[in-house]
Amino acid sequence: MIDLKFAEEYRYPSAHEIVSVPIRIRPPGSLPFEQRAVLDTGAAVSRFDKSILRRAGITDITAGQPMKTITADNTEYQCYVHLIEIEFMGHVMTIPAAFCDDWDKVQNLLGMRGFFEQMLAAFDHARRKFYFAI
Amino acid sequence: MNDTGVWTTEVVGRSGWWPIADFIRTLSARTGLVRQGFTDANPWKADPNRLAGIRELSWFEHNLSSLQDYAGLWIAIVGDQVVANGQSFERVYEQVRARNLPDALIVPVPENVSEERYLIA
Repeated sequence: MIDLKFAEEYRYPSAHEIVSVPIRIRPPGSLPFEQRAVLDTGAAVSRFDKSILRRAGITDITAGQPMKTITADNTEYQCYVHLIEIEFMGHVMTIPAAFCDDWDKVQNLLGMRGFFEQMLAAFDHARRKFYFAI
Repeated sequence: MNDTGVWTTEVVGRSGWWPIADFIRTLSARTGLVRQGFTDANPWKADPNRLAGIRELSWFEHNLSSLQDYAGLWIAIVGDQVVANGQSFERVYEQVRARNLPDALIVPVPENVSEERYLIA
């Protein structure tokens, strides 16, 4: 028997089978703003819609670390990874986030590298609960 | 500036001087002129707010089909109300910023809100 302990529980909306969470993006020296994101353990890295680039304090998308990504439908994208500060359920975290010029009005995804890496997490989808400890 | 230097932190910020409008809003928060949607009394200090957006997100997900008027637009939600809308994230962000609503959830509304769609990512 493996016994894991989680400090926090989040009951997520059950409308579309996904685990959507509110996050705050905290640009340096500017007003934080809230966005919707999806917890996605199938994503290697977090990705964000390009619309928030400027407000996240990123003036040059290509200044990030280049990264080739491939989506579930086998489409390949050249994206750039930037470090951004977010607030997740009251926890301030700096995470790598991939941006791509082609990603317009896409779902924000919170993925494995640098996000789930920072926590112990468990899903109880039958009860629409997400447990985590940071 | 007070004895603890709090105003200095708020006005100067982490990377430069705040615009005067931001300074005035900070003063408003300090003096108790707090409005709806302003659950963080001091957003520039960026205190974490573990409840931020939870109610708004739940309302959005469960009431998407009622947002036909905003199909294809970006909206900002506070509680169970749409408080701003526009063609782009930038436009909505500016409205939210002008009204000093750091806890407004800014989301795009799909073109067809009545159609059930499921994400595969």
